Amino acid sequence: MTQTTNKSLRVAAMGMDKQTQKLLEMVFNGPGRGDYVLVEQPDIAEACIFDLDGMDASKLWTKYRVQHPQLPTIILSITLQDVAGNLFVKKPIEIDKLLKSLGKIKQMKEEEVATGELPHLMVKSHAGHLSSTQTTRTAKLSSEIAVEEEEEAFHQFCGYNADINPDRSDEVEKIYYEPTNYLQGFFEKAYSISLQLDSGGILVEGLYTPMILSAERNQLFCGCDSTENQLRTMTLLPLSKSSHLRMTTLSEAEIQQRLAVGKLAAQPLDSFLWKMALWTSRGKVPKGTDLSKNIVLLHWPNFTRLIVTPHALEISALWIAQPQSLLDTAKLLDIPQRYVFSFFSATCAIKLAFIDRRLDKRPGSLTITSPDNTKRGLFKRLLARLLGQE
Amino acid sequence: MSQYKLIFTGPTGAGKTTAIATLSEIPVVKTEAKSSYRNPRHEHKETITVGLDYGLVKLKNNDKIHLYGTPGQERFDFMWEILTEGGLGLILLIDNTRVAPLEDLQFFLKAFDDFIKETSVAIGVTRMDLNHKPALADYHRELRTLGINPPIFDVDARSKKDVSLLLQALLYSLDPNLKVER
Repeated sequence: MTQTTNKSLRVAAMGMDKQTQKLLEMVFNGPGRGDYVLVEQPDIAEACIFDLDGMDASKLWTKYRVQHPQLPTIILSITLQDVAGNLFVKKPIEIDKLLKSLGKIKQMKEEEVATGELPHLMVKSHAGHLSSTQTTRTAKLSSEIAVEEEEEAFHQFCGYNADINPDRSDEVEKIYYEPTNYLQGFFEKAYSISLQLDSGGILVEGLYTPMILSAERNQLFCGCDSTENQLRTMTLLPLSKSSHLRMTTLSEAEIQQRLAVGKLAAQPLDSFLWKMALWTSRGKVPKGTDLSKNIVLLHWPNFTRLIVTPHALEISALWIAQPQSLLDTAKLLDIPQRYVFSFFSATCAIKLAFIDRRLDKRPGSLTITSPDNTKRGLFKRLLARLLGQE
Repeated sequence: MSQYKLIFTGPTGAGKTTAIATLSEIPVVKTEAKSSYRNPRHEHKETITVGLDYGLVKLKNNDKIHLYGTPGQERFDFMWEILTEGGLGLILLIDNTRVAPLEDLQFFLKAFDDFIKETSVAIGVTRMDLNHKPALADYHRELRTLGINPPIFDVDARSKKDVSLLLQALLYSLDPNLKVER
């Protein structure tokens, strides 16, 4: 059963086929749990997800808009549907994009409540005549849709979470996730076992394609029929108890045998685990991470072969020079906490960083020791040049 | 207008000339000569750098960053000290297809030890696609024994993105609190 809270946004699903409905249920029971709840009727909903590719979709849409002209709506379709005032998510559905659209509606609803502009008190108008609130909403949605592609890509990896106040336990709770509940945890376990092997690797079965992990070679072999979207969708959904995932140890000869038989493409294992951790964590940190203790970064990540999230190089340089806690890192570098959290989660996944539990952080003023900042202006300009921002 | 310099070093064939070319705004001034000896591991390389390679990056305030590549052969090491004087930092490129890349690493870190202590170093390991051993983990182990922990990446010297990341890492090593100036 879907968990609801007072703050859960009630969302109706319209015009769905069974498969899409099932996917929505998984999203609402998985990454959307607590924030969104599916309801059967649009009459009691605060938002709607409408599938425009269904049977008689256009007739149903016209009727729906007459009956619910104000209801914030996310349109699903395989082709772009630019209907003013509505959000659009292209099929096949990418869960991140759906959650992002839902997040926008939720945020607007909260702002409306905060400003006393309650949606249910609005005067209903015909679909063609928008009320002032809806006009504002339309403009706002349109501008928000125009998010730069690059920024959008990073949201897939770092999420949207605002900075938390560490003194508020309800906020702190929100930044944790449990990797073992997701595919990430399973692969991390396989990686740990593979690290202990002198040779050979781990065969993972039960996914859409068999995969072989070899920590010794830093390689992951998997079937060519898998797409990045498929994998990302799977990383976001919590593993069910009935999951058929299993791992088996393979000798080097057995790996060679399987490689000779099947068409398995190789990719760097660390890049795979890094990306999976970013997709799963989306700006959160593994449960139990002490936010106030220093981080030990063993060495710089191999950034040329990994996804470089915003500020990742700055964070690495700081942690190598001067270990800091997660919260102090964000404060010192003056960057959103989610970038520090996502970077930490990724480095943990490839066993590159850990919390230094030995020491309590000493209170004191937070400053970064820069050996020679007389050239800072020059370095800034050169950096801007390298980033194409000059 | 101020003038600065960045130094690229490493053994012959590591990709210094190529790396400078990916960053430079001017065609790289190469001082290469036909090699009388053809290294079987670098059959593609018909020439070696006997003097300096030179490239240039101009910044918006007209500051100039001169990019110098040292000649890879040890018989030219008398030039290294003069060349590094006043340099901003060091990019060290190591060719993973050479006989003993870890020894190359040690050699160059030792040769530029004073300069690295004054500034910083970022290391790019090239041709890892052709020879994946030693792995980066082996380089990290070697660096730990030397008591340093600089950025070290798997680099394709032809890739602007790779060389740029290496240089960015060098800049952040020099000053972790850098912010991009727009």
